[in-house]
Amino acid sequence: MAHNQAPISPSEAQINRDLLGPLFKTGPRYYVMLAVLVAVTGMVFVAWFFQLAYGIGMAGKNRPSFWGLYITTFVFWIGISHAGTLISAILRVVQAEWRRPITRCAEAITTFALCTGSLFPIVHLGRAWLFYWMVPYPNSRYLWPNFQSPLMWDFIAINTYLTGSVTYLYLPMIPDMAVARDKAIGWRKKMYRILALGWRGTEREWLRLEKAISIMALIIIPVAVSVHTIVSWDFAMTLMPMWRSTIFGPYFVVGAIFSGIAALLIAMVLIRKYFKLENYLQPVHFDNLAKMLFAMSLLWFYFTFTEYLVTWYGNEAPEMPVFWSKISGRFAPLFWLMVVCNFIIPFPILAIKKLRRIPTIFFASCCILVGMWLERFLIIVPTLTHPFLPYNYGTYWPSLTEASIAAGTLGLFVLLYFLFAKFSPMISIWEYQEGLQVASKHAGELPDPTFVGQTVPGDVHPGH
Amino acid sequence: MTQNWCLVKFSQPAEARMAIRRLLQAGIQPDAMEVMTSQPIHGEPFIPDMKPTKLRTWALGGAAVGLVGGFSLATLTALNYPLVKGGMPVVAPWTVGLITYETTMLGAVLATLVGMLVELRLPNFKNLPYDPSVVDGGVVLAVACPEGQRSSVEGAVGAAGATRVNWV
Repeated sequence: MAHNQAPISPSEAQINRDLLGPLFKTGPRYYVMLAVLVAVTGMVFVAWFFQLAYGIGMAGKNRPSFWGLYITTFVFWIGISHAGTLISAILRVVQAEWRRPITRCAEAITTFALCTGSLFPIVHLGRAWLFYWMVPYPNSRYLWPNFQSPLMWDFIAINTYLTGSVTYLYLPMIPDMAVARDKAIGWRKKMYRILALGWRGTEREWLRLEKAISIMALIIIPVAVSVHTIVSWDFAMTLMPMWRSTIFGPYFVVGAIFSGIAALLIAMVLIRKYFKLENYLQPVHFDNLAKMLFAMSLLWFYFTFTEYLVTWYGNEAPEMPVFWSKISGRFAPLFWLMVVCNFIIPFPILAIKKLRRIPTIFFASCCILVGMWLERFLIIVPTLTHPFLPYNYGTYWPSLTEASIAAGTLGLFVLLYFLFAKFSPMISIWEYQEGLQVASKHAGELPDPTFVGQTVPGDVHPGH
Repeated sequence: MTQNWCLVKFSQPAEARMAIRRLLQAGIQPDAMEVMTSQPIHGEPFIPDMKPTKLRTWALGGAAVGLVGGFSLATLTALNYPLVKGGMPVVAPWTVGLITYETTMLGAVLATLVGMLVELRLPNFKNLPYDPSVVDGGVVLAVACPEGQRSSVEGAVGAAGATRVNWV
């Protein structure tokens, strides 16, 4: 094919250069960060190896609390996974134009948080090699999984959500993989050629891709809601004090979206800084997400207040020891720290416009993640250490193995996200370009050929 | 008669639309043309009478398969080993409903993906007409053109404002 010199649209070429730049340029900082993350992740696998070699006793599990940090962190990560796909799908369905630079960051969080979270039930099994017993397949003993167990619902729901989220992440990536294919050289070109599947950007292809994405967005919203509801039913279906709650489903979903948005904001701040994407991830995107975070903070407080008020007013004998252990007992410092992190600190930062700046939003989001992890811990451990019969009361303290695995998964998640950011643009190129087209159409003008990222999709027509 | 592909680049979608109208008037069939862009262009379609997508049907079909599959899995496996658990019926409607719901959604997800790939015949690594410069903007029109119509095609696209014409 002969290639003549032809004028190209500087705006699109500029966007391609800016967003593909991090894929092709790797500095020493990247390798240092990679080494640190590999070391932290290694801690997970070393600790897990010891647990496999010496038995589940290494995790320090004992009566009455058999669920500790593993299940706390499992619920936490599944909650974080609601950042992406759900938020991205909602914003797509309502055609919020400002979503465009953030959807990829969000969808990637979902995928990797699910991968990280899914590790915990396997680790918690002890005999991890028997995990396949949960898979429904015909076997020689004619035994099938017990579909009446909420743990099986979890297994099916999380796998459905993971499949949906990976698909929902990959579909909008196909055109960007094609751009990377056309710009890359060497082994990267081969890799992107395979990932782009032969995409050419024909009218037929765009029509079907957009249709598929919109169908996926509609499917993934109820799936996401069902996943965290089912996770809450792991608890609510048991006869344990303060777990048998009819609002546990929505309470968990609200908490999941709350922590998910906080995680998304943290990721966006770091990506913006590290990949120098200040022109693309602009204050307006942080401001809009921060407003959503504020709404979720209020909702979280409302659900928490309702949950505790009803328990206190009911004054049931088995529930009150759990209640008072959180309010004024040995879990009280963690409980009040949770309230401070999830409500007291974020409330003014997110409510007052002057305080709603990127560094403060970042700080509030970090507090919320800490608070939400504590919330999961406080749902699980105080109940387990105060079961129905007082002679079964006990204490819980995490072992080093358990703490190493739980903490190390933060490294695993960041490592997966970090590696992903090196092979896929973290902002969807075509969606961003489409946003500029939509914005210029609304403004009744052609795209600015001198674009350097100053126009934000959604700015021109904020009503969208 | 040999057939070549003519790759024409336009800077604006309107020019490409005008070129397509001229080419249709010149006797080029709609299925002999393809328009490539770096992003979806909304509004009037470039090529008239494009086959509509059946992805919604794919999704519904997948959901139906998932529904039947999930329901069968949860009920037949329970009946296969009829053990009463927790005082529940062997086939408990609530739990069967949950499993069926999730597999229905899974079926819809997988069918949408498969449907899109089938309708687009992807992955496709054959050498199809393509101009990599399209990722940097503009609109590329690919026209399958018999040797004899070369000049009329060039005339039509030139009059519409083509910035570049390549024959491959």
